[in-house]
Amino acid sequence: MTTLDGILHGLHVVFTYQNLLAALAGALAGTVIGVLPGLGPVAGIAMILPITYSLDATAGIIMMAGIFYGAMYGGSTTAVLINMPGESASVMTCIDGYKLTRKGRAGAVLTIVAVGSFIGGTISVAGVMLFAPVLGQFGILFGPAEFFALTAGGLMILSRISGGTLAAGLFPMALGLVLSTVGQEAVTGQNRFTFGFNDLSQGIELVALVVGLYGLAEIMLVIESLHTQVKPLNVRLRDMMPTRTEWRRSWAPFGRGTMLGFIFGLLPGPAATLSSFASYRLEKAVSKHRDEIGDGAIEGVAGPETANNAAATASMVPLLALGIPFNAITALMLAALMVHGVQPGPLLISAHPDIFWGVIVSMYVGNLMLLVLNIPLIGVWVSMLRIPNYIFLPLILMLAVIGSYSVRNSMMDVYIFLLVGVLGYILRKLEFQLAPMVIGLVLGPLIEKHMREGLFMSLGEVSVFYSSPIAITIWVLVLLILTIGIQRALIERLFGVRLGKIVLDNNE
Amino acid sequence: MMPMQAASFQKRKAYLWMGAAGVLFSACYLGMSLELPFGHLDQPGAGIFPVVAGVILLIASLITMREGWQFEPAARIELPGGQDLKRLVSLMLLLLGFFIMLPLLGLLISSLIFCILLMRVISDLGWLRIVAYSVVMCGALYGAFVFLLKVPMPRGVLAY
Repeated sequence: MTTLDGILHGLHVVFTYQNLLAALAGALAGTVIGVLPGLGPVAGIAMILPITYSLDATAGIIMMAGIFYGAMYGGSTTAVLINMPGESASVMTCIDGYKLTRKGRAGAVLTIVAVGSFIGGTISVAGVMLFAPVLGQFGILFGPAEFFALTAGGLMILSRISGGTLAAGLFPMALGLVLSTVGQEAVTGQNRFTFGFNDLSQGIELVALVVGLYGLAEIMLVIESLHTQVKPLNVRLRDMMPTRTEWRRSWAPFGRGTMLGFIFGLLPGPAATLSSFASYRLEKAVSKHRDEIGDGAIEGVAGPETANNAAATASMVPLLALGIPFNAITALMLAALMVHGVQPGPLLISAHPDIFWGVIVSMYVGNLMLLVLNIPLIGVWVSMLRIPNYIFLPLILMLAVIGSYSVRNSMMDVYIFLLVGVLGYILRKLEFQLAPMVIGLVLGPLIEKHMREGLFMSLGEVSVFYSSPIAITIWVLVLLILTIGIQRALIERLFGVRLGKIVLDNNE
Repeated sequence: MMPMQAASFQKRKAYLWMGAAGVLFSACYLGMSLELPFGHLDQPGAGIFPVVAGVILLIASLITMREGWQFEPAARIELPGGQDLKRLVSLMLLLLGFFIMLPLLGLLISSLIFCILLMRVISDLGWLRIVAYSVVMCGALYGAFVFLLKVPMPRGVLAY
């Protein structure tokens, strides 16, 4: 199937009542999730996951993709209006976005955000469309050893570059791997660590874990600091139009943000967040108005917001082409596809063209829907920010409980939700990263499968994991990325130059 | 609402405690993993991956302790205190009560009680408004999930 045939097929798939509705519902739900503090995109998608099980696989994944990029947009709304990022990828938007709001430019900034998100998202979809099939073709050459290198190496990179200290990534990742071993083992059917509970033989439920880890832990943080709820200013529709100067100053950051975001999206790690940080740094380095960035410059919003949407979209490439999730949200998508009996990977495009091309075209349509709907709907989002905590916190908690219970109709999952929520709260207080734990849980069974297959096929020869050219290349890349700090220090010492960092430190 | 009343805890101690808990947990986990069939390298059993995961957790826990040891004594983690802590503990107790009541009383009644009590904890509203809001919210959720989406939530006493 050529790319043109694929797009036509995707149009045929998407322009059905059910799939258009899934894209619209996903984009709008994502925006709401992004807008509401205490409910990030990961927890939001996890809570909606059981609903997608009742849809067919294509509609389910279209809806989840819509939530993903919708949340990127929604998160920036709170960052601009009340100086509170709705999700981590909008942290950088707070700096200049809120300062522009205080100068009376909130409406114009939100329009620039919407247009930037649209540009970043749609160009990135084109990249996914062209890049994923090529990567998928390459992935056909992969055997267990190569997949083992990719999954284990990717997890190691993710735990190292997620932010914070070495322990901040490694400890949660190891916990995720340990939790992934709970339940019936796939090859021999041996029960592991179930302690006689039948409900545990199917393993730790991902939805309960993610909703607890991200949702409950976040709500606990909100509840302990309730008095800081800030009410947003009114934004009138007639104030939404940016000036000619604002448009002119935004085009270059749109372009730079798109390219940066797409590249980051292909790598393991919290791509949307890292790309928005990197884009902000880039704008501070190359923009004509670099001196104004930090004091309320449109470049400080246009670049990061374009980058995070481009990265969110591009992070679908490793999932769709290789079946490997590099962040918590694509891990949830993988879980949803597997529930539907679809195994993402190199054969996805040929075996399930409906899903691949349907998702691609739905992302064009969904981004367009967001652009068209979000600007007139800004009043609705502002009023959502006015909902008092005492209404939406109990509501979100009850939704989280229903979401955790409904996947397997098990009270065990509800207890896991509570336990993991407390664990997530403690980990957040210690500044540990949560994403490596989720990815560890999802990738654990895949790593085990590839490891055991490799050993079976090589009759116990461990060298199989590092003898093929592809596996060697992957391990060398992993090593290069893991030792980037040492390399940087070495270059600085040998050549006496000071190298800038792409990602900001926690205190910046 | 009351102004924030924060307490704090030494970051060094927090990391050391977390690392020590990790070491203890990984030791127990490894002990149980070694009881699983290990197999041979050419026919790996169900125990091989848990052993690998347990060793990784043990190493990660030791690294956590080492990092904790290196923190300045002045580095602290902010914890809730006073009213903030009271609200947080109340939330935990209410959730625990909710989960105990859920299979017995069903979703509608248990969520209604949970919602009323939580709203009382986190707001200054009077009982009447709290009950009114809770009835609307819980009724809407119950209608949407149990009747519309047919999610088989526990119905408790309403099942009879």
